[in-house]
Amino acid sequence: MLKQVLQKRYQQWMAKRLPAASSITLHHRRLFIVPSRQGAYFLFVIALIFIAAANYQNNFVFALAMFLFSVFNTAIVMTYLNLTGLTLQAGRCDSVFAGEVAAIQLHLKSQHKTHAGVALGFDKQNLRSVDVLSGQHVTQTVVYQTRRRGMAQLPRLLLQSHYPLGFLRCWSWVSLQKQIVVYPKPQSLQKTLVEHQVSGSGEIQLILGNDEFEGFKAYQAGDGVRDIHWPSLAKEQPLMSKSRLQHVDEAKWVDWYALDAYGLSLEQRLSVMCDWVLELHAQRRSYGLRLPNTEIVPAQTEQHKHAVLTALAMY
Amino acid sequence: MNSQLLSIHTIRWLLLAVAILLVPHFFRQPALAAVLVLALLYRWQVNTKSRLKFERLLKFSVIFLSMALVLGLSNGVTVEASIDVFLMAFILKILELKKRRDALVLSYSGFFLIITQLLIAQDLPQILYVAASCWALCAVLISLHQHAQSGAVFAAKQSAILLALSLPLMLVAYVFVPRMSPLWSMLQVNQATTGVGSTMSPGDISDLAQSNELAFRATFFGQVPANKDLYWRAMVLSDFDGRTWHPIKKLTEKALNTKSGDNQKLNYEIMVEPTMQKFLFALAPVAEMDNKSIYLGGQQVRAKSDIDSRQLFSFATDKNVSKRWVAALNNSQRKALLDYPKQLNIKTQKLVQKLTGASQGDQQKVTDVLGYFLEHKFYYTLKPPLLGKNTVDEFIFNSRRGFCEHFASSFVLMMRMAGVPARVVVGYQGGSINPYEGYVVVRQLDAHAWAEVYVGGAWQRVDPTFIIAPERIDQGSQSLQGDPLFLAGASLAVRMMSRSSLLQKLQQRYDQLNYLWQASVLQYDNASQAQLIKRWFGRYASYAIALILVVAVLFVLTMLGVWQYLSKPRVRLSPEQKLYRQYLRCLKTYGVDKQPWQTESDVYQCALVTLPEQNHALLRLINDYYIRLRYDASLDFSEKERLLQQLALAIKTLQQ
Repeated sequence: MLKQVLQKRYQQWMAKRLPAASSITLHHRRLFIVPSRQGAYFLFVIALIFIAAANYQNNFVFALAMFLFSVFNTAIVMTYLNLTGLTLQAGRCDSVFAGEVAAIQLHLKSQHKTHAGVALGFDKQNLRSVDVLSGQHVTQTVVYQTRRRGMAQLPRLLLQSHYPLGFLRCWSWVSLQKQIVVYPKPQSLQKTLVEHQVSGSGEIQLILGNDEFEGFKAYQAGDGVRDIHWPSLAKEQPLMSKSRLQHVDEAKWVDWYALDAYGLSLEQRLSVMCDWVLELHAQRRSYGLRLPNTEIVPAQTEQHKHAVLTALAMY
Repeated sequence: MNSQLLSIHTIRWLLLAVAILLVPHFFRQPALAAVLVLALLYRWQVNTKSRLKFERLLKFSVIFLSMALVLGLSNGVTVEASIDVFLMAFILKILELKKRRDALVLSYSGFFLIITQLLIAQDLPQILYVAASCWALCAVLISLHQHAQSGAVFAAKQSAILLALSLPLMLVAYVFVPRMSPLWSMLQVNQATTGVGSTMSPGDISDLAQSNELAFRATFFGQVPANKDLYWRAMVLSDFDGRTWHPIKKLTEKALNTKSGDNQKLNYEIMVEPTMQKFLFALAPVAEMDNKSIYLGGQQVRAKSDIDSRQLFSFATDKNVSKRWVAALNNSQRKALLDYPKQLNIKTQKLVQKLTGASQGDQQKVTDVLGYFLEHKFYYTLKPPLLGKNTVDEFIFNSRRGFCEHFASSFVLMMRMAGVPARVVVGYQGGSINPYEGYVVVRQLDAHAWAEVYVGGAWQRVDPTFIIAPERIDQGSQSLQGDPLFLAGASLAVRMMSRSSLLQKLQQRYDQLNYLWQASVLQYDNASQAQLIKRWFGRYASYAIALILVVAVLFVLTMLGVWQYLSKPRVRLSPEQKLYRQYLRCLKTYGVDKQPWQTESDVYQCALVTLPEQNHALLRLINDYYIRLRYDASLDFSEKERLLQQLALAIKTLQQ
């Protein structure tokens, strides 16, 4: 209970301190820094040297201990300076289906100094590190495991560095303003029905049925694999493919209401519809979308597919 | 993260760091070099594509060799032996250098290993060693935390910058951080040192004369006494067994000679090189001493503990350094000082009877015996012939060749035979003055032995060597230049140095630097720290230290921040850009926010949509002016001026 409250407070504080922006330049208010375990070990070594200096009353060794301590002190500043001035910007991110891993490109830009050993990722375990050389710009891809469909805001990104000596960990939780469209997870109606033990699985073809068989025609590059008449290949005849009677004007509709009969949940419905869209798109068919609140007129382009899937994602 | 494999950069830096760390130890323990070279060879071939066929053999030979070396350290548990074992383990770690953790262990123990060398030597060149080691070790750590793109040169530079930036705070800390006193006693570092031993036999001191090593340096607070008066006493030997002189327990002059007033005192400091013994070198009569030393009697001083590192002692003597000082002698002491083996050196006993039989008083006897040395031809040489059982008989009647210990020994014996209490004193005579710093440098080749006789209620110094070879005392040990054995134990460079005046000057300069380093930096202990702080801050000392340390840390941090800020190349905005910024700020109030990727035209389009109709003409003007000013290269100066004014006016109007 208390933990939740604290967690919430922390999130609020973070949101206030590190607000989301499309491009973020790191500076002192955005960075946190604490000694790492390695730093603690180094302080332990300094303590050992100090004790040796005392026991041998050796001033040179005293000086060495103080020098190493001073190095630690300098390392604090250098670790921190290593990250300041680094600019982050979210780049391209292809839409994915729920449950898939989204690859997000991040642009790291250095103004006038080298930022070495910059590790990026969404959690401590999966960090990828890179050096951003002075005045240059580097693109680093981070991966994000999506879970639910919809418009996902890019979660806070962990950016950390132990450079130069590893005595300190300097990090920031960067919130980049970047929306990722996560489409519903496609699943065929058949499979959905089997999974949910709903009867009537035979009718799927009916709903999304192919066009009527017309006859054979000579194979043309681009014909669907399913339509190829394989026996002709076996007979060493010219390759043929099935010609179907295409009802070009009679576009297919991916229809919300067509699924009324199955008693599927909202997510299942959207998954099935998503599957249909993909199927229709693969068949280069013209299709439209009908949702209770939206209707998208049939078309057959990539943009159309994206628009339809986005509509499904956002429903 | 700990399971990550090491990059080739890191491995190279590590091998370099290990090599740097170990180099000075090779001079002490050459076997380490062999082990290191084999280990480096092994590690190097692991990383090359063509691995050697005898890889295993190599690995096992490294392990075998190091085990043999450790077993060969038969001198018992000494600091050197422990250091060698530690270094060996350090080298062996190279063999299994695979993961990130190995590199961390190696570099952290490397930082600690620096002190092993500092325990053995603390002279000026060690600064270089410490700097190089720290540099390489920091580069190792940097290479562990950088990604491959920035490269090795970057790591080298960054490491150097890091160390340079760390210097100021270290200096402040060195001055102000209080030193801890020892927590527990440690094994002391034993070094093979030359120097006077605790007894004297023929040949002991002539051996020393072949070494150019530094014995100690002395700084006088006042007029430096003449060279012929500088008789640095190490020990008094009164017991003779026919060959060797030993010290005795029954010492005379139990108390310090404190009669002379303060204005009669000559204060001086000696900085003694480590000897692992307690001997100190004072001028007679000893008038005053510090609390690190004790007075032993017989005008001898000893350190309270073994001198295992360079240490500074301060003494005082009489301003008019004299050859004579009053002292009492009781009967048993007198008896001990007249004792000699009666059955040896019969011929000398007879000679002494003949020489002093007619002498009037003890002083006359001294003159008479010295007269014998003057009358007969004695040679002062570094290579006297070996002597048999009756050492003094053979020396006086046969060889007549000897070094100072022969003269002193036979003279003291002859005085005892004549019934005058006498003793041998061993120490150093003279020294050379460093012209830059004014201190006296005394080297092993200045080792000397002389005699003291008790005449008329006072001890009197008699140096028979002065009678036989006065140039030894006047010119110092340099008078032995012609002797083929002079400095025979020293390196060629040292022998050349003693001949060339330029090299000698350089050598004196170097010695001066080293002395200053020792005296002002390494001798800076708790006492001098307390003194300094008291002088600066009076009774608020402890607060002051805390405050200074905190301020120093903050100051360094701030300075680094400021430096960072200043090193940023400023973007200089042109006048039209400044105006445009004003314009953008104004637009923001309407809700038009320029995003980084948007062009000026994009902003214009956005503004047209958002802002009310009556502003549109103004917006177009501003946009046109700005784009002309910014991108039209054909504008002449006056035209530009005019456009700027109009742009400013337009923006001002928009703001209202």
